[in-house]
Amino acid sequence: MVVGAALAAAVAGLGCRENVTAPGTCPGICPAGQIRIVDTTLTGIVVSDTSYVGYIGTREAPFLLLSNGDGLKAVTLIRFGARDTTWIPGSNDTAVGIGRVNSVRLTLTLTSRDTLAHHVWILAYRLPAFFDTSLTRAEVQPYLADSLLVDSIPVPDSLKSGLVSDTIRAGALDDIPAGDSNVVSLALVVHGDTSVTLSLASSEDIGGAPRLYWDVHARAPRDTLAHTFSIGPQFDSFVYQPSAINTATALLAGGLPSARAIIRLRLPPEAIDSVGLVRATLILTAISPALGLPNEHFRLSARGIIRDFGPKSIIFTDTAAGGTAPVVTGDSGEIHIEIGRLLRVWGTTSGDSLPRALMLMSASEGGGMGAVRVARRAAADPTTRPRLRLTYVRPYEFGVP
Amino acid sequence: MRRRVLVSGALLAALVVPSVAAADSVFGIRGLGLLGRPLSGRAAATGGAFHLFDAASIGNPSALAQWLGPAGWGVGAASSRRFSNGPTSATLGSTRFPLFGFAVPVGQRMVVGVSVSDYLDRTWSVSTTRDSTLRDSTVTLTDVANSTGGVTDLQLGAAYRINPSFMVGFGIHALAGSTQLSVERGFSDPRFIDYKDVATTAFSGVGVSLGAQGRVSDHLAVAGAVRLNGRLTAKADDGATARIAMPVEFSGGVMFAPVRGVGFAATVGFRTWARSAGDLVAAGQERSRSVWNVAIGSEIDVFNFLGQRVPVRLGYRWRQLPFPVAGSGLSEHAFSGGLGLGLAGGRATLDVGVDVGSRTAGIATEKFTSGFVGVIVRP
Repeated sequence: MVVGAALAAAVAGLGCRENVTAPGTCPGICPAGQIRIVDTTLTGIVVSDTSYVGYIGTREAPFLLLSNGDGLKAVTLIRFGARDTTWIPGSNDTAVGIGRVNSVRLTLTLTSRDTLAHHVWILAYRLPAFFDTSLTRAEVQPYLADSLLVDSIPVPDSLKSGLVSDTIRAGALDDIPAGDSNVVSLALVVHGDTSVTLSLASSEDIGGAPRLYWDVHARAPRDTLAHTFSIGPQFDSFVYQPSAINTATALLAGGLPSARAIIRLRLPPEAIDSVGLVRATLILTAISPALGLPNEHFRLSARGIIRDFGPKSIIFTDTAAGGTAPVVTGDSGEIHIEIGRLLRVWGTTSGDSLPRALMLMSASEGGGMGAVRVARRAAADPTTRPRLRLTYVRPYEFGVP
Repeated sequence: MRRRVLVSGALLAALVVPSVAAADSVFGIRGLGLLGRPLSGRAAATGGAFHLFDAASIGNPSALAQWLGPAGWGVGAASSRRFSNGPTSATLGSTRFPLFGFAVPVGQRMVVGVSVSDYLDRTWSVSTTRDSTLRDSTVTLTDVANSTGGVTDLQLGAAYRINPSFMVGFGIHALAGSTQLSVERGFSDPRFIDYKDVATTAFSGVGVSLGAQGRVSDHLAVAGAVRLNGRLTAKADDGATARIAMPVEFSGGVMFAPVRGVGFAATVGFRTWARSAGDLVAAGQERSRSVWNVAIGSEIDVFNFLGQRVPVRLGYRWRQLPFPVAGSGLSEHAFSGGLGLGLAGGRATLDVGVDVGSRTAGIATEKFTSGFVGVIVRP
């Protein structure tokens, strides 16, 4: 019995590993059929294309832009919240009013900057407290006068990112005119020994929004009491030039206000295949260098559409239902986006009802200035029109038996 | 009543077994697959030499007549294989169940039985890797072809004892089963999406077998069987169909028992697989050939254990396989051994054995060690 049990155990041990895959050699030890790959480029696949602008505005961006470059000039606009005129020093105390302002401090959080620019200054100008938030950059210019200069804030060359704090020169913001309801608004511009672009954290960012701190003393007879008012922005945004792009001549995607372009396709059966399609590359041709901040890296995304409602189309939230391509400001030429997985989804039974359309947009929409302008389907130069490069496997001949 | 329940349960178990397969081999990639060896644990331990005289094996329907009461049996086989193909090699392993059966006497002289066994094994998997130029860059392609399944032989047999020394048998066979073949291609460049396609082929066919065995003298017995098969129909899920002529199978054996507890046997078989050649060529396969198989073995009661005599079995076998691989004929040989143990007061038998051998086709070689565990229950 013991011998039998031992033998049975040994037999069982032989098969405890289930592995039947052997190294093959073709054509000897190899299936009779062959996987045959075809590579082709489809043109004339776009039946309609349109760009739409304004999905995310500059006021919703997580950054504030300042630039004095030749190609990009940007001014940040901030309206701080109303500062209180009294405070309560203790829990069992009564309110006391502001007697005098000792100092006013402005803090900004630098998120990125040109590292090549030196002697950078941020100039703060006083804006009307309740300025029109739809101001254009041109309309801001009159307020960038020396008479309205509040202060010049140095940005150390060694600072790549982080807090910039400046005590405003005495008297510049000590008094808030009665008609301004204790509200202060500022316009920020940047200067340096060369063109310079930098960005600051906005109130849309998790932390680091611009703040004003008023260090004050109470009125007599309680003028020994001190207090600091900390006020964040009620509104912050930026205006810049150039900001208008003609979407009639090109497809625009990315930037701020953010733009998207919808591309509707008509594809042959081999392109919409849940099995045989192994790679599909959407090839777009930029008609001008990519826009954005100097050396800005961003990704252009081609996202599948669930329901085609034009500019308000519902797109896949899963980024796998589409593809992205890296772009750097100034890039030109072709942009290749892999969309094979989306086309495979279209080839499934559940994908039958999906529109054969995709949305071009920045992968981090609203998170940067990066934008591309690509040729439309009716571009004068046919070689620049959108096209699709397909790699697929011909139907496999399994054979019988 | 209890016995009837047990019998019914065993019969049901035999019929609902989802797949029956012998130990796999990559050599099953060609033709119709690797020929099954539906042997009991006892017969397997003798290289198959005793299978025409063995009631729990499938080769000879007349052997069913040896059952004197209801019986059910099954075999499990586990194998470890070392496959070498030129500079590449791999260690493989699998566990399969090549045989289940049940028999019950009907009257004093007749026994009917049903069995489910492996006839053609088509479970294999091969992987190849190579570099290719795709879109002007070099990409490493990894192809995996994977086949699972095979053709199962369902036999309804009946045997009759004409007298204590001579038995005849008849079997009706249904061939059934399917294989699922998948092909996959993986790419080293993640911009390419892996490719996979799957197809299923179903098989059907019928056959009949006749067998006889008789004792020529007190020490000598002979047995023979012939099996006639109709065409095997293979139908793919896309509707493509092929009909393949199946072989006539002849086998004969002799058993010599000079004294009680000592037996020697030899078996030879011939299968006319050349009949399939035309149909296989028409289906894009290589020509098959008719094949021989030979086995010799012994079974000797060497020692007593717990009051029972324990037979020790040894054997050697050689066989040709009908479907060439890489243009080379395929053959297989193995040494085997094992022993049998009586259990439950004679109501059950545990047979264990091991089979060590190799298959060769050209430069491709597969060395295997297979273990068998056979259980026979006589409720």
